[in-house]
Amino acid sequence: MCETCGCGVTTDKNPLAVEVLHNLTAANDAEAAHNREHLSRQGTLCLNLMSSPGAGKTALLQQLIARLQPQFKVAVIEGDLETENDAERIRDAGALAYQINTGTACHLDAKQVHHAMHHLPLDAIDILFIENVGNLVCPASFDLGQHKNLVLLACTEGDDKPAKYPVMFRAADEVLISKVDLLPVLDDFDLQRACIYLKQLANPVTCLPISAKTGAGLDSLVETLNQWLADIRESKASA
Amino acid sequence: MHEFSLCQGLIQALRAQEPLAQRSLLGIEVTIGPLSGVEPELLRHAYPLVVQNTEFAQVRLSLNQSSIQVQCLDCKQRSSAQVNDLRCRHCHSIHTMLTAGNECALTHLYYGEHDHV
Repeated sequence: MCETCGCGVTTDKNPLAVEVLHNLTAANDAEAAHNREHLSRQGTLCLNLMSSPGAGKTALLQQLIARLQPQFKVAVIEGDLETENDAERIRDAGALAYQINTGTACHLDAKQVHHAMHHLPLDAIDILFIENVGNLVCPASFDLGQHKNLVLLACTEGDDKPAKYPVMFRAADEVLISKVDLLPVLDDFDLQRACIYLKQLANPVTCLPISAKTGAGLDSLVETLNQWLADIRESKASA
Repeated sequence: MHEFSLCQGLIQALRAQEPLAQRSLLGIEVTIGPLSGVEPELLRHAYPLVVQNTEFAQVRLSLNQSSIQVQCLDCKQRSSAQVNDLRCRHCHSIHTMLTAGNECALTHLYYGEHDHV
């Protein structure tokens, strides 16, 4: 309708094209930036853990909590369509957990994470994991305010997942090849091939083989997390 | 699924625009890149459902699908790239920077003239 006189009569004669640039994810991005700023100010490292369902995110967190908790306070924001099962597993492992049930939504967004952060004593937390909804598509498009993205690729999935889900794997700050204890019985997963597909996405990160069952690769991962936390604390100090 | 929430972001973006005197908004252009994580066809289907009860119900949506461009950090050349192969076409380096292809933005507004005297 006409903004000037209220009439509904407009024509395509002499159409005027006006160039604009407005990101459609701007509202989520602003909320995410707010979350990140708050976490950085607290000196809390925040990691967004993403993978397809069943790749071993919760099992990995249980093992990481056991390795990190003696030195650091860990908390987890859990994202699942339904149930509080994963949050209970995290609490049993000795860390704080807040469960978000998304219903039918296939990813977490920054507003949900902001709400969850208000249920955690952030000033006492060193490392905050966000276990995103199991999905290799949508979670990659929504910034939550994390500092780093951890992406799991289970060797029970195809080694061409990085080529099939480029948005997700391009965003990874660390790619973890999980369940490698099963590699001896899997003849169709080639670790080298997965790494080549990842490199083709111009993502220079390495593929770290891990197993929550045997503990393989976890010391190396803990070392990386230590470094990232030190970087956040250093930035906080210099700020 | 999230194409609906993107359309809601689109409505917010449209409401934030300053109206033009003697002109009415007839159409908009949204630019979507192959690496945006947005499926253009789903956005096209979601749009009329989201705007139907708003002041933008008559505003036409056109989608501009951008292509992927990278800048090589080694040989410094620009090249086009594929969604799952972002290496430099010239020197095959993996050290490239995405310069286009992940957009998800409102990029043009099209206004018509009022036909009344």
